[in-house]
Amino acid sequence: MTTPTQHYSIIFAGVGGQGVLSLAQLTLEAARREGYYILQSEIHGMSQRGGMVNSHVQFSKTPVSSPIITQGTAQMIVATEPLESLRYVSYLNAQGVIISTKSQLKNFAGYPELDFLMKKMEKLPTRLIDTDPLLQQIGFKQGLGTILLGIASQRLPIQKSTWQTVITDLFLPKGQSVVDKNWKAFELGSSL
Amino acid sequence: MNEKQVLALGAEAVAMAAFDCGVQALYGYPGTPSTEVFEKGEELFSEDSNRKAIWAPNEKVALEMGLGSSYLGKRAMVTMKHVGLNVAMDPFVNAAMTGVHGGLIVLVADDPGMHSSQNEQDSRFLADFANVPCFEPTTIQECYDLLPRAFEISEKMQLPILFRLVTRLSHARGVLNRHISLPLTNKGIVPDSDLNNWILIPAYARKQYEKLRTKMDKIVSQIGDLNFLSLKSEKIGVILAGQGKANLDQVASEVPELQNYSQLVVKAYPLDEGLIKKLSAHCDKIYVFEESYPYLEDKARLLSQKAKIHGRRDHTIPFAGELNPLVIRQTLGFEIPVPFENIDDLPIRPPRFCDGCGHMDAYQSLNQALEKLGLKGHRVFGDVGCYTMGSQSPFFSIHTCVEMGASVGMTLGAANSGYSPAIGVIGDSTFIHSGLTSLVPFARSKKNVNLLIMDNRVVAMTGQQVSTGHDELESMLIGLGMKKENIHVLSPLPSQTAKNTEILMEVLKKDEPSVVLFRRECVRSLQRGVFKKQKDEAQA
Repeated sequence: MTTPTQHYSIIFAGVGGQGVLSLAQLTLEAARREGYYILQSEIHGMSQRGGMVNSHVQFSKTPVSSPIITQGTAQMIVATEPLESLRYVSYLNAQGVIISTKSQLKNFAGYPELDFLMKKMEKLPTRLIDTDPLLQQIGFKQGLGTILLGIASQRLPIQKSTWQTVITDLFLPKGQSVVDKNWKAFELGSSL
Repeated sequence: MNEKQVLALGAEAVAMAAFDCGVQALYGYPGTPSTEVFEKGEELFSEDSNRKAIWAPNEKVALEMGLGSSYLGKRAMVTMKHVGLNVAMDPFVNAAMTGVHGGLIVLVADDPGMHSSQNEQDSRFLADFANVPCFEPTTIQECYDLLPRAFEISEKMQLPILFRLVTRLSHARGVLNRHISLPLTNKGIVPDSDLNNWILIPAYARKQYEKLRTKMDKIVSQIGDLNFLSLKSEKIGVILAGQGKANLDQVASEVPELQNYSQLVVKAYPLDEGLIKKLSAHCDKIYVFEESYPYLEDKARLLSQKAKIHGRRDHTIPFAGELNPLVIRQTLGFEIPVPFENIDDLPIRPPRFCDGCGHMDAYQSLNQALEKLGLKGHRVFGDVGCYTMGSQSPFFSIHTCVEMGASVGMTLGAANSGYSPAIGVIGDSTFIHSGLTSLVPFARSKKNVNLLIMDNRVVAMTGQQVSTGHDELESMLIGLGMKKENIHVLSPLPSQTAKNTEILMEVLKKDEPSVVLFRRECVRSLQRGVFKKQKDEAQA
């Protein structure tokens, strides 16, 4: 059994406050502008207090009915935190990939050692990115999500110009410089 | 036609429909996953001075206000989460008895999977119990399209209607066509001919109950077009409602065999029992996919002569938790490989207090005071809100979280049964929601009962909505019978912790009812300038 072609399923994962839902919304809006049927699921409430956050984004040439991605079918998990990148691996399909930062957010007692995470990742199709030097390079500490989105964009059927317009539309209320910095981060990611 | 395409959450789609079909009054109490319905409505209503969107102190009051607006002939909607309907149950059941005048919708968002709740109760059972029809959308578009229909039926049949969402639909984001634009309706006040409908003394109530049962019989045909049966060649059938349908549709788009299954799709209750009978006569077995309790499944099992019924009740589907496409596939035997096994030994990242939150300082003082009094491990009755996180590491300061306001009653009950000092912890908005009445016997108890009110001026957990009655707690407490000298206002700041600990120790030693107000604004509402914005708007 294979999933229908052109049904894209992506899980965005991270920690409350990292802007995970914004990444999901950017992707959703970009796909909508490319003419796909879209559906996103997000969880509000308890999880937004520095806890686990995830959002399911799906787009397809045929209507998407379930807000929840079918386990075993996602093309990608995009994670702004390495521990969080491991939480939803059962959703990945056989060709799927995890795109995650290496940079840990240890905001609770009992956060595992990096070795523990690395060992889990050994058996998984993980693209672990050392984002700290990249963020330093562009001088924009808040650019983590958009760098990762840039990397993810390499595998998505969305034109660069569409990404640019959705990033502009989302961040313009915060000023042109925020748009420019995010676009720079996205472009860096898309070239890696 | 004023058609426009927007991106919206399911919750927001309901709010837009309420605006577009002429709702004049919107009331609610915050609670995930219902909050966004009110908040979107509030935003839309703020552009029209003829409409009102008002947060109520609790769901019961919200529904009573909705009923008052309905009495005046206006369309009204009331929003709450599923456990809020328990609080509003008295007006809910009795509004069905009186009937309504202007259309009245009770929007209830259930939380299958308990993402942000203490249980996953199914509101359809409460609608059934109250003899109230229930509408249940499957998609974001239906969240919008079904609401005007619900208002029509509500006005035509003079009944309140429960409009049911679940977390996944409320928080699903997708494309919505806004295509309705109706003016505000105004039927005028309840006419003299109907006066007695609203006076539920036994002589009139008996008549009203008879009317209610007749209405419920009639309504089956009124909403009949929303439920449909399609019999196909397969002798396997499915009964689908809400996200059960959404999930099955997803699988059906990938598994062609499913197109041959006979289907009964349910979007409105009560359901014509004949549909279940027809389906069960046609099929050998029927699977029921619904969130979250086995409501249709139980009915189907009672009515089915031939077909075997499968669902949560017979454990074909796991009893607890959400449906998802994989569960549907597993149930129907269309499994797909899951190449990477779920990692089950990852530590959970718990939600935590925001940096600088006053609750942490308050809990530190409480822990220190108990330790210095030789009461380490003493049990403390907690409540529902951000401060519930004080039950977890590193504080472990409170030991119960049951329902809104339980801390006050449980503290008093424990004191009556010999526990001293008895201590409760409650937030300011939870206290206004369901603690005020409990404080009357509390203040008069002559026991060593102590209530710590975590006063941050907002309903913090659900997005910092301004707490009803904020900044007026002292006068309320005195009015309810507390002695002024037993009310202590403390500032939960790191610099004050030592001093606050000393005061708490004195309070806990005293054999009298005491209330300690730990007062400091929520750091998030402060960052967002919630009160500054309110002040500016008041001045403008």
